[in-house]
Amino acid sequence: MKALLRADLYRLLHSKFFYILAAVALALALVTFGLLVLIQTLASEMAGEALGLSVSAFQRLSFDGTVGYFSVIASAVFICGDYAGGGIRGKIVIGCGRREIFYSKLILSAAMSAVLYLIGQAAVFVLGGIYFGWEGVSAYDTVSLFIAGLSMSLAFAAVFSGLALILQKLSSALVFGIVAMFALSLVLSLLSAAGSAVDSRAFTVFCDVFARLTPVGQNTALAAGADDYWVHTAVSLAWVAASALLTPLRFKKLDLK
Amino acid sequence: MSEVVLGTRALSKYYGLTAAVDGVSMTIGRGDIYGFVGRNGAGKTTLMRIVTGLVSKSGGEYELFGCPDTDAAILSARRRVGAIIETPALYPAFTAEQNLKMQCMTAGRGFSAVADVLRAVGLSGTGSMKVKNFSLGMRQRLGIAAALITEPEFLILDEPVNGLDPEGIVEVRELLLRLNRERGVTVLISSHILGELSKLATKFGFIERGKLLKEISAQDLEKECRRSVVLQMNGIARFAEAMQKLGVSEYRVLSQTSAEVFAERSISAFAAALSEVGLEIFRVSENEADLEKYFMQLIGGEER
Repeated sequence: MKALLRADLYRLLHSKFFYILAAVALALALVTFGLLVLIQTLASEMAGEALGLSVSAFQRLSFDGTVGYFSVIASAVFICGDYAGGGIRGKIVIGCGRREIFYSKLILSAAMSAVLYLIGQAAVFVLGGIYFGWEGVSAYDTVSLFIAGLSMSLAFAAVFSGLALILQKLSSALVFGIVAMFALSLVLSLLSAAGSAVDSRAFTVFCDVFARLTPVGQNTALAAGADDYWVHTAVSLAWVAASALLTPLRFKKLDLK
Repeated sequence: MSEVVLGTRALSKYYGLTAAVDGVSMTIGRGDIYGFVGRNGAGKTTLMRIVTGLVSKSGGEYELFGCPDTDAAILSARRRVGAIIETPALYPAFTAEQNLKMQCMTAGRGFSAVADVLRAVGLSGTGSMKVKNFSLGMRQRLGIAAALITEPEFLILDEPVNGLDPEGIVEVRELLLRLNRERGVTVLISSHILGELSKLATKFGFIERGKLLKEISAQDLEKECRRSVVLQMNGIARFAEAMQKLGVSEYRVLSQTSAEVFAERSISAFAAALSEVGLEIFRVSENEADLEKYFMQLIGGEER
């Protein structure tokens, strides 16, 4: 396992795609920050008063769904790239266990997702902290939201690395992951729209529960101001556990070309 | 009998109702160079995939270094194996050296052997050139290097000389022979170049439509393939006497007018000896079966 991790880390650090993703994540965080600054400036010029944006608002806005898409791309490229070159085949041939191969991939995919998430959060805390200030910001909410977001990033990585390992082909993993995220977002939007039209307590509860069941829904809920951070964290960690337990069972039975 | 490195019993793999490997029982002893001969789709690669753990078996069993495939220790047994199955497992964006370092790391080894192995396969001068820019032959050599870097006791090579030029083919052959003689490395090798296999293998297995038709040692194969002369005569009486006079002990009578002789004599010598016993030669034909002909005879001609 240690040897596999070392080899996978070597490959990751010597590959361009991760650095490109990190640069894109940073660029997106800077664009979001720039837009917020522009909105704040325009609002104060036009309305004559500041919008009162804070680090908290910037932090909520950073849950724009990009971490999910980054996880799809990072896991697919990292894992399916190993299939394409024959790396996974090579590992099995020399006696590496399939479970260990997956765990090594899972750990590094999770690390990539975490780094990409941290890049966004670093922009929030450094640039947001400098520009908007920390006045009125709850340390508990900030830290809890940060942890919920981190757990959600790990959940994305766990789910998509499992899918990539089972689907094997880069195109399949990318298409499946992106379509799944898009479809879930669509369902959540429809449920949200329906929720405002349907006057039913049971339906509202169903929508709330459904939104918290998947990382995509959690992302939307956290961006919209949900404050049940620890429920989100627990559900995300459950996704990580489920992927860690179930993926090896399927991977074990998979015939490799 | 020497230690069995790979033994399979009634090993099978089905894809739906189609048998890719159908009840194959084969034995590869330590030090063997086992030439695996079969047409495309005969089941060679599938069997290699099963043994290397890439594909699950549908039935039967196998043992690697005495370890049953159902035992958890099979992973440890596989650590003693190096393999190239179809295409070499390489990272195109990395250099040859980086690829070998990755292989070393995966196997939990140091990098001390990297330079030597690159030299052994003739790739020591590739420097910062990435594998994606390698020719097919260079990739094949690097694949062999990756299989050798872990110092395996058993090499499984599926078409390892694919894409190599004649010089490369000879180099690979000599490398494998050297590994076999000097380090006692056991080899399971398949190749479409049967002439090349015949120069290398000490044992052959012939597979067709998933079934192992025959296992034969190189010595026995040589006996079955050796050069002979078929003599068509006006009779067969006193043929033995003529052969005795010629000092030929190995021959067989094919019919009342023909015989096959396994000895190198001139036609005039045959004619003279047979004439002395009252026999006349009508026609002489040379018969030399090589591995290719032997295989074609075994599978019943070229008909699929």
